Amino acid sequence: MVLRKIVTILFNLPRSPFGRALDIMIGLLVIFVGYSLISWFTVKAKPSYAVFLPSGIDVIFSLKSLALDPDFWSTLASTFFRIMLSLCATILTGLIIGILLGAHGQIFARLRPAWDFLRSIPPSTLFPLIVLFFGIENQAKIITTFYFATLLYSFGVAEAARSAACNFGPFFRLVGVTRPDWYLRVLLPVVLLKSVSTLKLVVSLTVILMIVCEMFLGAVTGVGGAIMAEAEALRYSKLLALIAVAGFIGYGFNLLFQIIEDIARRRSQ
Amino acid sequence: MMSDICLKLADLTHRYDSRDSPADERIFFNGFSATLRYGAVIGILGLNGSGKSTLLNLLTLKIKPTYGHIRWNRAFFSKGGGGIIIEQGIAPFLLPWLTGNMHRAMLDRSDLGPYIPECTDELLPFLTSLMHKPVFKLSGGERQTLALYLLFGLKWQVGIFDEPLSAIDGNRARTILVHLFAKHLREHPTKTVFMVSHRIDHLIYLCDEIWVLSSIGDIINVVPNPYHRTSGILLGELPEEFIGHLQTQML
Repeated sequence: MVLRKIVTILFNLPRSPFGRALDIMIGLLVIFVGYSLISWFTVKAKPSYAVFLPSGIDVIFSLKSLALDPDFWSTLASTFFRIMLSLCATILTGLIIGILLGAHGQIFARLRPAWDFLRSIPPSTLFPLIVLFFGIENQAKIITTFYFATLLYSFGVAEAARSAACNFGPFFRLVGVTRPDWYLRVLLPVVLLKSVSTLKLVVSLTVILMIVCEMFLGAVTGVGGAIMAEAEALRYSKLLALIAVAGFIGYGFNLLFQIIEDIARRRSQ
Repeated sequence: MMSDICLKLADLTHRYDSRDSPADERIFFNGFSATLRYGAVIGILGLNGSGKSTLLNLLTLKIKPTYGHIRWNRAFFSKGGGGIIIEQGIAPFLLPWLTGNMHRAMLDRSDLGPYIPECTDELLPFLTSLMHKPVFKLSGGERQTLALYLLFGLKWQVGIFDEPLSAIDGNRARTILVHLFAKHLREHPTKTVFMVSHRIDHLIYLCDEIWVLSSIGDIINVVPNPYHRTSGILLGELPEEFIGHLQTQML
């Protein structure tokens, strides 16, 4: 009865962006915890596979010890810094390329097949090529994530700009709005609002790709590098704790952009 | 007096081909010709599928007629040319995240600016309240009202309105028709307007001439309107027999 009451209250929460974010949070937690428990019991049922599997308590203690370790925070900060740098560069470049492409329909139509081809290549497969061009240091990691995220985002922006040009272009062209008004008051807000869902994908891609890139050579700091170091040292509870941290980063970003997307959707109707 | 002529339609015919079935081929307007002077207010009336949208697309030069030609006196439908088109829909040009005042500021800087508010005491309190809210907070009817208010403050010369009052409730639609549309056209007698509507009373009140698109034969019947806004007749007192006459013309 009590459980039913709690569920009823949760399902009747007001549908504000935060209410929806709460729904997502609860939903994801249920899926995550449920999936983890099933996996855990499955693995534990076959002891031969569970030699290196630490207990959940060990992982939680490792998380606690990580939280108390100042080095961990600098590791996290360097990953966060790389992600933010790549994300900012992606948003800026994607907006400029996307709006220019969207505003010129013929160029967009010509580039679309090549764009689709590039999008179909898994980002990590081009990492060796990028290492070849930019080396194995920080630069290569940021460029890899930036390159693929920009590819995705600029295409999303171009589609949004194209639809804005079709929907609003004829009227504002007839009225003869000034060029700054057209770009800053019409096109840019439309594109920002309509490309939030793409931006959410871009953020996920950036987070995943950055942590994967950090696992490769040349990573002195960063969560990805730390995961590899713990794996090599066979400290599995700490390894799982770091993987959970990577998950939290992605989850946090996703939740933030989900709230932004909800607000954007409401304001663009 | 060539400069008085705003629009010439000559032998206008538009054919829609059907690749799948030649039986579905339709020919609209059957060589329709007309000459309009500046200040003409034309209503377009017809059942669904009678060619109203096709006619508007031809008038706004979005499509070319299969035969004949359409000649506007000036390039009204080029950038800042003085033509405006309000296509079917609630208020297609309003940006949901901007307030009415922000739209007004943007339109003020446009080629058809500066913006001169066009309003009467009957509408002023309602419109003032709309101008401060972001568009996404307005209902469909409020958006349409705001869009019309914004448009009537601009220096356009030719206006094409496709069901401009469709989302507005009866009383307010009448108020807008009388105190915004009719007042504006009285004060700017050279503005040319084409208005599509399914509301026959609105068209009779506002338009000098009604082009009725007949579903039989897809032709345009031009019906002169003796009961329009300058005849002194009130919107609620339009003669039933004239409304009936227009309805039979549509069939």
